[in-house]
Amino acid sequence: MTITVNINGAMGHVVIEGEMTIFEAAEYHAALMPPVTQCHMLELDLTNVTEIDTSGLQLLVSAKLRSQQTGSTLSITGHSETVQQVLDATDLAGFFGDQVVLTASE
Amino acid sequence: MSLDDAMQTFIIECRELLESMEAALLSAEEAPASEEAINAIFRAAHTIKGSAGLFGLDHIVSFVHVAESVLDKVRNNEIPLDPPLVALMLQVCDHIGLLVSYLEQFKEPDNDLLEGSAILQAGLSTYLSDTPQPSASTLPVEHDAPYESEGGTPVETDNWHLSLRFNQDVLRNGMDPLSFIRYLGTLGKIVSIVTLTDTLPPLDAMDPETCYLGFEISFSSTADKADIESVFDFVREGSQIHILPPRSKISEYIQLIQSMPADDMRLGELLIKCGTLTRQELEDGLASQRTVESPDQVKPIGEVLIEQNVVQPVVVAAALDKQKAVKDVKTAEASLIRVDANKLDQLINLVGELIIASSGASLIAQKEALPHLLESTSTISRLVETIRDSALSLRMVPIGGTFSKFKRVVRDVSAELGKDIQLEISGEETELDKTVVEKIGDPLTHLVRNSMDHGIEPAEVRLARGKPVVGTLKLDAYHDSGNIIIEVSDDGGGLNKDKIFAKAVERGLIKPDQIMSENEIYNLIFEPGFSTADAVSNLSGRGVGMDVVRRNIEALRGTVEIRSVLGEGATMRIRLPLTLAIIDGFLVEVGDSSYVVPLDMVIECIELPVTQAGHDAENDADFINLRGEVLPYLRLRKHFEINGEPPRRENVVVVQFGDRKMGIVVDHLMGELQTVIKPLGKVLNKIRGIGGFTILGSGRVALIVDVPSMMQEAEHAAHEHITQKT
Amino acid sequence: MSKTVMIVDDSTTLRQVVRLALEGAGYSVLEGADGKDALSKLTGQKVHLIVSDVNMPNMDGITFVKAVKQLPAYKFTPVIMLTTEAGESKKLEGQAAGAKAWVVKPFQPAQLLMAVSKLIMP
Repeated sequence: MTITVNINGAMGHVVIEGEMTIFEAAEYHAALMPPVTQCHMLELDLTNVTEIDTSGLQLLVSAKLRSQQTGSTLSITGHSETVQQVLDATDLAGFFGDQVVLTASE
Repeated sequence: MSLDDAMQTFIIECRELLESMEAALLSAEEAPASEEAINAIFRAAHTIKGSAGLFGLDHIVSFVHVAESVLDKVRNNEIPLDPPLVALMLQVCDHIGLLVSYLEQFKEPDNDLLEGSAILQAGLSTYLSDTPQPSASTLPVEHDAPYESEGGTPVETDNWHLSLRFNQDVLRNGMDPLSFIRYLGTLGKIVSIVTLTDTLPPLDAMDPETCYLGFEISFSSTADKADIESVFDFVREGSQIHILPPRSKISEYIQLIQSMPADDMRLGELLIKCGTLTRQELEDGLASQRTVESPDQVKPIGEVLIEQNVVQPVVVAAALDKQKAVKDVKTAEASLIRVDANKLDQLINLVGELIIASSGASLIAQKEALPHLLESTSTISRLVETIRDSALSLRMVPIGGTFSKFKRVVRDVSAELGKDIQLEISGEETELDKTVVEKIGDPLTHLVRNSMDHGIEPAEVRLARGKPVVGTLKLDAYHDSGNIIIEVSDDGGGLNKDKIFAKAVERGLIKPDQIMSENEIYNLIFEPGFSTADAVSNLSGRGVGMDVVRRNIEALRGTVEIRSVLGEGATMRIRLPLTLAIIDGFLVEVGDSSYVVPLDMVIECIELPVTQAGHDAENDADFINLRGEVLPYLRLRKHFEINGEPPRRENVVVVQFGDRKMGIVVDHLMGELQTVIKPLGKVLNKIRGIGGFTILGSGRVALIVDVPSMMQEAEHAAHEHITQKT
Repeated sequence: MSKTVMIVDDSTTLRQVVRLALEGAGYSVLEGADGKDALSKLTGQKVHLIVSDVNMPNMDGITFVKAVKQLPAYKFTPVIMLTTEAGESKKLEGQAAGAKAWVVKPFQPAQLLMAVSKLIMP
């Protein structure tokens, strides 16, 4: 796993690569806190996430919920196939509201 | 690898397990079994059952299951492992062995076999009478009774409804709810899903390793309720898993809604969102519920709808089994790999060829006399020698496995004979070639039976002779100068020289006036058609004589000799080469022919004293004085009828076998070499004095001298010469 | 990248059959002959799921699972315990040690495969 966090004032860009599972959950949680709390515009690049489980998913959901409550923007700019499958399987693609190429329900 | 290969593994493994089970049972007969021994017996049965289950071999599973249940009781100290139970368990071992043999021979279990199972099972179940055992072949599957629901009309949907709230620890336990949902997808179609994030705390307050998400799922499937429920078996503990079948009564949904911590309307909305309920159904349901509602009428959801696992108090793991198993041995076993014996044989054959090729290269190097070449060929030879040793050691196995089989033999035979005989085993760790081990079992069994039958006296005779009532049979093995010695000894009456002699005369094997040494007389019992027992007992009536024993042992290039003290006991000593494949040899020449004498038998080489040269050319054998010792010798030239004149100076190779020595007269001594023994074909097999042949590096064939048989010949010849000496 | 399952059992037959079934379904398989052996093979490997017998020589399954859960790289790795129908207390002991999934012995390969695929996909 690697997580690359770039914070530029109110703009943030986070790239997550590798596995997003329970084994790494604590690390991701810690690494996501600053950009999520500081940035008004946060972009998450999940293009190279190879695996995601419930712990990874709920981190994303929690971050998204926070952005909704504070009126900031969190967008997922790239999904790996795995991430997309999970969002579809949980019907959360709409919740994140990002441009998703494929949706199962429609 | 295929399932067939796995079946072969299963058969081999069963055999090994049964062997260790038998050994443990037999030792339990002698002394109270240790906790480890009992556990080992149990585990053997358990493993056989488990593996048989993998192949769906229900008849084995159900049979072994009963035995395992009894053993489990033994393990829990509920019943003692007393002699009757040991005896029964030994029969069980045998029967499992039989079941496995059927598999091996692709035979369907027939009536006899199943009847055997039934009889033993009946015997075993007497130990279990108080607790009925569940059948092992069917797994406990909770099949629900047809779902009875209370009043109300069924809802419209054809879909199942699943309401999932997970134990907060599932992720930490390695269980990923997403994975279960993915698996659910293999049983049907997830029509719609709502992911619940209500309990998800703000990012900064959440524990990233705790599971917060819940799911409401509408699911279309033809699977039955048990199957769908079983998806969540592993996460049920501490979770709320509610599963409603299609067309459940509206009241059941209402109860589901009320059971949830979230407020009624929220879950109701979710059910609508899932498509499980229509808004109308929900409203009607809630309305009717209100009219009948009273606190005790609302059944706890747990009783009606869900099948919560009864959470039993977690057994604190303090009471761990202290299985400090037979560590060293077991650890060694764990790091073993199984290799096809044929592959090993192939390797050893190749090493044999390598040895020949390398001695060929050495020979050329010697002829060419190039120092560098000599140096490198000697390095190669050294390495090849090392390879040979390690290749051969691959095939070496300790004799202990063979010995321990005799525990059972001795036990059974003493019961058969009505004699009380104990077996003492030593030298189990002595290693010898696997091919030898395989072939030594039969002769050894025969010797053991013979000692028990003829050697050890009946109890009353023993008492009269002032011996302990319990007879002792000993098996021992050790290495002795390139040979392995296996001894079968008893503390019985010993061999009666006069009786044997008389019997042999009676049988026409010898002449009454023949003069024989003690050893020769003893050896008469190995002559075809000889029996010393006054009454032919059950055992000796088996039609296999001691002559077969000797023939088998000789086929292994071994010998058997007897030591006996009248009244005190006898020892049969089998001497075998460590390996059948390769020997260190001593190359000699007679005329144009080459011969190899096994090096471990060669003591020294001397020049034939000139006084002897040609002196006895007409005779096969004579004696020389070797530092005051009388050494019979034999001329190879004469023995093999080689034409041509011997050189002026002949050489004597002094060989020893056992405690006997002789000289072999040859033309030239060529030196040591390693050689691979190739067996002679059937035609040449009968030639006395030849044990095989080998191909020399030069491509020439050399015959391998069979020293023991040559020694016999020399002694025979010597006898005819001078009968006053033996 | 296929997921790796480690099968720990003292029966070679069982390991072979399980290997056949799991490899056939697309998993990679590692074998351990007992707890001690398995523990020594875990280090430096990425194992996604462990299937372990309870009663084994050298190191039994319960001790093994406890040891596995101590390893940082495996503290969240799911463990399937192979229990017996009679061994309810062992099952609970196993769960306390961290093996939250189980398959009852004797089982057929398909039953184990089912349990494995509930927990991880190949």
